[in-house]
Amino acid sequence: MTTHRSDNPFGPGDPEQGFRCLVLQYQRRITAFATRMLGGDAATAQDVAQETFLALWRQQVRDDGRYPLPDHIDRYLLRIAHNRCLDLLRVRRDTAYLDPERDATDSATGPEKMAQASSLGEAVRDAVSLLSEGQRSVFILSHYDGLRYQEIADLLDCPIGTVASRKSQAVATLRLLLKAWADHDDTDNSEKNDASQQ
Amino acid sequence: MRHNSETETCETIQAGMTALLDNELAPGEAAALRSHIAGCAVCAPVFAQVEKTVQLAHSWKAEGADIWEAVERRLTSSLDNALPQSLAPLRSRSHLSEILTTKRKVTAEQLAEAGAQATEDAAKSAEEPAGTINQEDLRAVLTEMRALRTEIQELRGEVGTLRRLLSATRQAAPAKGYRPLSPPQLMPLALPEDSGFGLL
Repeated sequence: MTTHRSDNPFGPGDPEQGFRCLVLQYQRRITAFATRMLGGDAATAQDVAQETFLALWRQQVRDDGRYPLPDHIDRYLLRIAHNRCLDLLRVRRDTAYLDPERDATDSATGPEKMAQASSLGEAVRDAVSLLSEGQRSVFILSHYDGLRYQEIADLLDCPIGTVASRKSQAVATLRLLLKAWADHDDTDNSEKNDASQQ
Repeated sequence: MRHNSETETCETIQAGMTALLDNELAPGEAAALRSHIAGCAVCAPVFAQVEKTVQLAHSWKAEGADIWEAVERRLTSSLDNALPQSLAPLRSRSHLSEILTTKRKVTAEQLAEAGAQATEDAAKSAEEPAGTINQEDLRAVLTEMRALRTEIQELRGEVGTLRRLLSATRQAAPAKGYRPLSPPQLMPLALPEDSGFGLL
């Protein structure tokens, strides 16, 4: 005899409706997270998000809604999306040399490249993309998704000290990469202050 | 000149600056860090830069997207996704049709389960108006089960034929002069010299 959990939207009733509510609630957050993990590739991020929700659907219907959903469904979805993004990034890294459009003459990397970016948002995007996988994951989950260190540690299956260390290293790296923009911003602000004083 | 211990302290303080900004430190630790930063000529500008960097990082706006329609399309177009939903209460004729038209992925057990579920549902709601409990669907499932059973019997027959053919081939092989290598002919090659077998 199957016993359904009343708190599981995939249980008896209309599981598709429960699933729909869940997708509508978290779709934007998951796509934004995947977009950042994939360095701004919004189209692929949407595919990742679709896969993420479908993975949840498959799992729940397989279990026939018998088990409660994870306590923090948002983090559960983030974990699935995170793993898929890492898989994609690794494939891209391993096959990058096959890309005929890859610009071999583009030698600008690091702070110089960030300084050439046409906007601050673009510079931040490129800078975050240059972080190691571990630092990038922690930085995005903490800075953009607002997760606490312990929550990130649970999500990534690593000690909380590792999370703190990666976040600190990530910010230190970004500080170097975005130095030109920070200096530029400071100059702008001081000019505005001077003008207002006059 | 700064002492090594001071440098180490500053490194420790700087490593904790991000956690400080994220409110991840215990109140005592946070107060100690702020106190040090306020009085340290090295750490104060570094902290300002860290704060600035964190502020700048908010400039990257990644827009979320609405994907429900795409998810729903995939949900209803994929048998793997539609199947469990249909098997639950067999409430939708369209879902059942989807199963039946893509039977290659539906096992007999799944259909039997679906049929049993439908029977149970029908028994529970015998008073409902005819048609709402999918009696028609139930008949379709049973028909499909019979068809699948026939297919399985046919496949069993084919497997039996193949087995007989294989057996006959094995028996006929020596008569055509084919002599498979026997284990004693191969073993010495794989054994060490001191095994007593010697090399052939």
